[in-house]
Amino acid sequence: MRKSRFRVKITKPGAFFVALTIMLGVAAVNTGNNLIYLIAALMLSLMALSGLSSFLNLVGLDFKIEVPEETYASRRTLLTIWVKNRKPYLPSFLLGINTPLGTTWLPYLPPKKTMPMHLWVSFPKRGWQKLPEMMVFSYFPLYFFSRGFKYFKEQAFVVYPKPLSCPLPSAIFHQGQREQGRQKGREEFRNLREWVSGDDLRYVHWLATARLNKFVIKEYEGGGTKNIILSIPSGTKDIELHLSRLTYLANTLFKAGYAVGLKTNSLYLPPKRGLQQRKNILKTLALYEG
Amino acid sequence: MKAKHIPIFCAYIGFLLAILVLKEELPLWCEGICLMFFITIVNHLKWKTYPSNLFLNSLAIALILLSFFLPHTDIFMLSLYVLFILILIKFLGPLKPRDLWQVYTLNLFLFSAATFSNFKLSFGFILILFFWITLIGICFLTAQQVTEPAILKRPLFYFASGLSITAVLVAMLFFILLPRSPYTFFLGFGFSHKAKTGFTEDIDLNGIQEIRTDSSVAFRAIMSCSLKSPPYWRGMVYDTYQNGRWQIRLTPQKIKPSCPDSNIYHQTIFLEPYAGKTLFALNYPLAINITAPRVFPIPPLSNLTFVLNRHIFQRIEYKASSCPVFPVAHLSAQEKLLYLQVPQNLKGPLDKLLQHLIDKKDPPSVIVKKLVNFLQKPPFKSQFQIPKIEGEPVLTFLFKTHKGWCEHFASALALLLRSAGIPARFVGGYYGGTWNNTGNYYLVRQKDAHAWVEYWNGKNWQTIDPILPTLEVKKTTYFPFFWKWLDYLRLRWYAYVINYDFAKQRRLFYRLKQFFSPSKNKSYWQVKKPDFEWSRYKRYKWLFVGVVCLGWMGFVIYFLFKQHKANLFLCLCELLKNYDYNISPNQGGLEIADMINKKDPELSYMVRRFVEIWYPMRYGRLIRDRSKTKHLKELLKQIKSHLIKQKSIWA
Repeated sequence: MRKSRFRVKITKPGAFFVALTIMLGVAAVNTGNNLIYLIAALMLSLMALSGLSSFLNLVGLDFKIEVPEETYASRRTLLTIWVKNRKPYLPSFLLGINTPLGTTWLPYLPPKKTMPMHLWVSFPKRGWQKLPEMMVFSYFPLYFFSRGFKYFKEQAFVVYPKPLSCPLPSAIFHQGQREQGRQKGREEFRNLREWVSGDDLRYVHWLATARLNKFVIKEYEGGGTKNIILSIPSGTKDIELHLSRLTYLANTLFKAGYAVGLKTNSLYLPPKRGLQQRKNILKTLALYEG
Repeated sequence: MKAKHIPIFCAYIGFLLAILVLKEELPLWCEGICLMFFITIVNHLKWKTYPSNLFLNSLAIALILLSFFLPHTDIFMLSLYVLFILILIKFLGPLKPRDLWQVYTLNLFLFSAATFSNFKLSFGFILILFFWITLIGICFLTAQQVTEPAILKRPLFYFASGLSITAVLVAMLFFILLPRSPYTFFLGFGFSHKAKTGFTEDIDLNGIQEIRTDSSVAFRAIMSCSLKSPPYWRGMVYDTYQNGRWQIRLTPQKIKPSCPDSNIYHQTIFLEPYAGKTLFALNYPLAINITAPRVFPIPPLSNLTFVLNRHIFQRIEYKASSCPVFPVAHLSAQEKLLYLQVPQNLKGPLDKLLQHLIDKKDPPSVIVKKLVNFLQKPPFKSQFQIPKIEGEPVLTFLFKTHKGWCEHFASALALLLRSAGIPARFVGGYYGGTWNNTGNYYLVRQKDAHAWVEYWNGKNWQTIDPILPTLEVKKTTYFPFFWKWLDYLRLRWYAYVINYDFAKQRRLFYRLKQFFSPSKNKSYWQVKKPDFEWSRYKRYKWLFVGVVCLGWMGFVIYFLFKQHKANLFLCLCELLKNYDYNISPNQGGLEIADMINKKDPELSYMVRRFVEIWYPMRYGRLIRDRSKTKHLKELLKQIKSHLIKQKSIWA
């Protein structure tokens, strides 16, 4: 975590206010009119206190950024920034967080409280990404100055490829249609086959295994053994397009209850069900480098 | 009020305050028009119908051009008119954030313009109020430009209030430290202070003197203690009487007076601006030294007047020393000739009158006594309201009307003395004043203006007053303590704010240096505290403590009650608790209704009805409005009357 020094920018009303204060100050010295001195003194004190209160507004703040578990490239993602006010008595007003991806506001943060700020962001590329540099700023209290600091946190996370819809392979599609009316647990037995890595141990045919001295698996017509292995063909020109489609397929197939595996030139993930498998596949797709 | 309307509201209030501080400068029609424009606030809050920009710009140009043709318009008034026109045009159009910034700035300009004409303490109070209101407006405007300010309403209001109080305190420091120059450049951009009414260099007996009805302050004189008898404050000495007017013709010589008496009265006087050049001081003044805006002495003249070489358009502060007896026994031949002058048309009638009154062989003191007796007895009568006199005012007063005010009496006596061969002169000044024991000073008002006579008794000048003004009968004033303190504040406002200058700044820094330096003599640092007789008010001590405690309790109860009242569901729970229903803080409304159902189904139905409106209004999307709140309050009343009824049945 890194915080830069405070940066102060003057706004248009602020520039006008400063010019007006100088003008009244000169008028006061010139005329010797103490009431103009009084007005100029009030304006000067306001300027000073405005700077001080905007400084106090921004000190004593802690930030914690929560990235969603799944982030896809070129898709809007909601980042949650938890802001904690460590000040014992002073609240913070009108906090703004500006990133190259958008701006969000927190109108009021009471002392010793933590509140969330939500920021819609979108990452253009897949793979390892860092959190963008944030500018925490505030126009508070009088819109004369914008005071802020840059906040950067070394936090990397994986952005999955942008899911791009594509038609499902026809066999899967028809099978899916056939299986729609079938009830769970009433699948029809098709045949026995040798066990391959990734097969569920629940479907081991123990008698045949004992007889043949190797694992034998029962195959059913229904969902029991819907295994699909996605593969990335080598030498493809538009690899990003393929990765996007594979991401879509992986998500869809996991949703449909298939055990999905992934095969690349250098890696083989045997078909499995479950969240961890899905994450592994998506992460592999995200970090694939051809 | 909705939070989004607060900046608009503050802009209007700021404008109203600006009108208030410029009240004396603006003609009545202009004030009327400005106040009429306050109706446009309804347009901004409700109707939101605005004319086109083209129309507004054309109107502004036309009105500004028109203001050039208004009669009696100097550059100051012209700039005021332009500022007012610009603000009023802004009020006609939509008030977007940019427009609101402009209105706040224009209001500030109006206040800056008011600094040239309004030096009262009230200006200070109104300026602080304006500052507070505008700051609230700007804070809400800032919030509005970023987010919906409704959620911030209360904290932002408290913050803005706190900020304005702190800013005022810091501004005091800036006010003291800002560099000051003893000189004015570029003639102050052509603006000058406006003079108030007061004594003039010639006195017209034919005109009713407005000064006698004016209760504005002439000056304040700080002294160590009050005098036993009401003091005479010497101002101008008039030597020539012609056509019903007293004038100053003599060019007196500069003198060096010395007081034969050991009692010298020292005063610090804060003189309000007026059209003349003469300074006032306790009779008979020896020396006057101006201390603000610049330090310089004023040489006394032989008639014991102190005259500046320019008109007093600015509030000035000076120190004066006075002697109880006339300090210079001197009458030159030229002066004697002048002080014996009587206009030709008056000589005959006055001589005839004198033949009946005095014997010319009498010594001057006897002649004076006889003439004063003559003027103090009927038919002569002191009266302010007299019909306009045709012809010579002194003759009319002496032989026809016999009614007049101090100027008539003093003029008549001076001219009679001159006719009798005694040099005499007419002195204008003030008599009496109100002693303020909180700040140890005399407050002298314009209505205390007075005229008396000085005559040469052969050795020295003597003061003789043919008619003592009836001093104002003390009215029963409410809160005298408050008014005295207020006037004391006024004095300090003039001393520390209006008259604060380069010399005082230098003195202050010097004293601060003395205070912080490790020197031994720390007693140099002295801040004069008001002499306040605490013992006199001791008996009110417990009353004061009681009032403060009651006030604080009232404040606390009000807030508790108010908070409670705002939550109608809590009111319902409280009501049910009062009638022996066991309501726990965690119980929801419907649970309460179910619980009551066994005991009193009718009451349960009423509670359910209440809750069904309350919950969506409090937590849901149902908009809280006055009619629903009213309905809930009605339901509460019904529940209460039902409970009372039930209780009486069970009893």
